[in-house]
Amino acid sequence: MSPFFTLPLAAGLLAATSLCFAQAVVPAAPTQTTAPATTGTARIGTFKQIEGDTRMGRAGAQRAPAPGEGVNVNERVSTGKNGAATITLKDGTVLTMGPNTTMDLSQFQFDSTTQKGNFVLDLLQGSVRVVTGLLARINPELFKVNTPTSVVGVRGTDFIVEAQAAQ
Amino acid sequence: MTHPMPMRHLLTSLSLAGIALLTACAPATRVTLLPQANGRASAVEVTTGKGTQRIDQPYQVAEVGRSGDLSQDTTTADAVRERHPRLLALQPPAPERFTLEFEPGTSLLTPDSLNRLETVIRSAQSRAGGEIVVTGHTDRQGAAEANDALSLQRAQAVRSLLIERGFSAGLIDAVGRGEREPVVPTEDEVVEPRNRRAEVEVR
Repeated sequence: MSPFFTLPLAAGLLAATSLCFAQAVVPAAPTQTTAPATTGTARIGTFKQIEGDTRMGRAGAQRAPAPGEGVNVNERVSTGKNGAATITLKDGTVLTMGPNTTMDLSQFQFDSTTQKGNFVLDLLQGSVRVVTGLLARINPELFKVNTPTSVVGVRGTDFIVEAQAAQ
Repeated sequence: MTHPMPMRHLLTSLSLAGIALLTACAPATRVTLLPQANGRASAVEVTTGKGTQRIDQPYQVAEVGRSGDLSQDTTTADAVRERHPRLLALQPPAPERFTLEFEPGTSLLTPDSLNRLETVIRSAQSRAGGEIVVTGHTDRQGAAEANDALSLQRAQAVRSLLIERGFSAGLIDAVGRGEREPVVPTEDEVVEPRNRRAEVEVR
């Protein structure tokens, strides 16, 4: 191969790599999970519409959920390239997952009498639409969506978060 | 016209490098603020090790690079529809709400309210993963803690009636809100029958 070809290509690739990856931030450590303060059922939300390839659980213990099935705190939910799903949480928050998405419902506490609590969603990759419910109205500072590179906080909202998988 | 060989190689490799650069620099995180259904103002704050980007107008976009750099962009309703068709299409229908009333001083529903339970169940069964949330309320007579307990009892009474009529117990929540949400605001210790009620949300 001619040096006229290899040299600029190598230089270009090196530049691209160093520009975008070399100083990548270290992704935040996975959030510690705390047990929900409320007693009774561990269900924190319910599957609504489910389309295509949608799974709950971690690698090795995955299964396909059905509409009406509950999700528990720290549940991992993922979709494949034809998948999409909607989950309504106890406080009325609606989460809609797009294709090729993986997310953890890392923390959720909701006292339905006082409407106080907190929520942390870790979006590992893909896209999720969040229409906030009672929690974000009462405790907006305790409602967070984490991606590998950032923390998204809300002020009473409908929004979409997209994330590239951590390198 | 054709470039001499070395020049052509240079152009090819530069464009390859350009593609590599573009791919590598797609934002690591992208947050798009959508308009709220009720038209109210809202905002999102995106925070990294390098700072915070606030977006507070519909269709504003906050972007985060691999290194945590923040920037702001704007999109449109059409572009969001094209980029995220499933996220827009898959929304559950708006919740449906019913108010049930009790016979004065009891946890017994009025005959009219009893008759509405079948409608509540039909509405929930028509939805994918339909749930029922029953929220009990009291007036301000009595201690706040006692009213929390009473409102939960009322909600649980309604929940039992829904289960008796065949709706799945796991998909019904009973909530007691005590005297926090009166329909008719009053001073403390005032008897107000209109505030003794159960509100049912089907979602």
